[in-house]
Amino acid sequence: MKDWLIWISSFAEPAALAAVTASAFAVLFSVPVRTLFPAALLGALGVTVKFSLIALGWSVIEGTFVASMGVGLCGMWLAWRYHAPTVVFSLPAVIPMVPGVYAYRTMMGVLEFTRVGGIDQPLLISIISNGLMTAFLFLCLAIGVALPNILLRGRSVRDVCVLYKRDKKYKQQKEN
Amino acid sequence: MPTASARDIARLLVDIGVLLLRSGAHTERTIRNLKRFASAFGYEPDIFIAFSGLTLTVHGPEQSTTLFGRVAVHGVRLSVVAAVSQLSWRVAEEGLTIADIRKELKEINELPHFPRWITLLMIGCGCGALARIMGAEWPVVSVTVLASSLALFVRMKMTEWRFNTFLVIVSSAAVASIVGGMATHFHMGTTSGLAMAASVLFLIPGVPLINGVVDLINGYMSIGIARSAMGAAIAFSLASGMLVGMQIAGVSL
Repeated sequence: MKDWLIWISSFAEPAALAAVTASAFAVLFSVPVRTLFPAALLGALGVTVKFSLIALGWSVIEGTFVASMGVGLCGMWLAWRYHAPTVVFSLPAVIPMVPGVYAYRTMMGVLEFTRVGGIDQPLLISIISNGLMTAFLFLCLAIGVALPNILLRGRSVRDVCVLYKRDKKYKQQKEN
Repeated sequence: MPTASARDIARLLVDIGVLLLRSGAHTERTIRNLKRFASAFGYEPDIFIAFSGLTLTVHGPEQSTTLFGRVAVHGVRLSVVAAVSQLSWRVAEEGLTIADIRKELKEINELPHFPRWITLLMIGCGCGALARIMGAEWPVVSVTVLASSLALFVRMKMTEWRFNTFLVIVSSAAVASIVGGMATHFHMGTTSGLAMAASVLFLIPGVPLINGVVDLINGYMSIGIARSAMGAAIAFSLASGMLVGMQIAGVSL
């Protein structure tokens, strides 16, 4: 029980910070005000999933991939629930997982490499590994946000059978 | 059974398509929305979307109409995208006429932005939170908040003065890394480099790159490549802006 509490509290701070970041970028992309709060929650969810998977021993790329897939799926549900495009929720929500540090290290490494000249093998290796991390992490986020397009192939979330039926039932109840 | 002339429908669809593409909708979404609008009036348009504009043909019973609309800017206003999407569903459900849709579109086009000070404050806090997630200490976080708000202010002002997009990004990134470099300058510990790394993150070309990937996935190769190239160019400007800023601030590597 106590372990469980410690587990939760160790993710509370990053989750809260991720919610702040997600809502900030939602404001920058000027999303509708009614979708600000769900977008912030989705951002917190993504970072929590990522950090807990990493704590379970997954690699950063695997953790980010699964977290952004989760964000994409929940974004599809939120899109149906709030009648807004999926990207309104999933795009701000993946921003807290952006590989800023790896990109920064890659850039610094490249600068250093062009400055010292010649072949500095450890530096070259760090540039390659940081650069690949940046590229793959960004690709993971992009695939997560593009998930509805991969799954639905040009249809709206509203047309999905199960959700659509529930939508119809809900409307009938409202009419009755 | 068509309920309006092909010419009027084509005009309407071009206006809606330009509005969507200006606000950051991807190709698939734009086409889907336009087809939904057209089908409410009994038409099936053929649409071609490029980076700088869209062309569409509406086939009428007697004559067809082809129109082109130019997309001058590629901004991000997701509230417009959401509102147009909702409107497209309402057209068929409530039987709106072209005049009704035009009125609604005018309202959508005038949807308010968030007030400038709220955006500045939120982005400051957001980039600060990002620095904290990356593991920065609190003094470094406060420098990040200041740096990113100032840089966003520079970007907003320069966009208002209609500077070149890439020049705006370079200048904004330079300001962010000059102010963020203060953390290194005042020796704020081992994590001080994060102030620079995190304060430029609001400039990352998230929307062009992700729209590019989405378009490539859906098979719209030319616009997908164009959007990705735009994103890469913005990322490159960001990096060179940081370089300029670091040279000015005299922060060693």
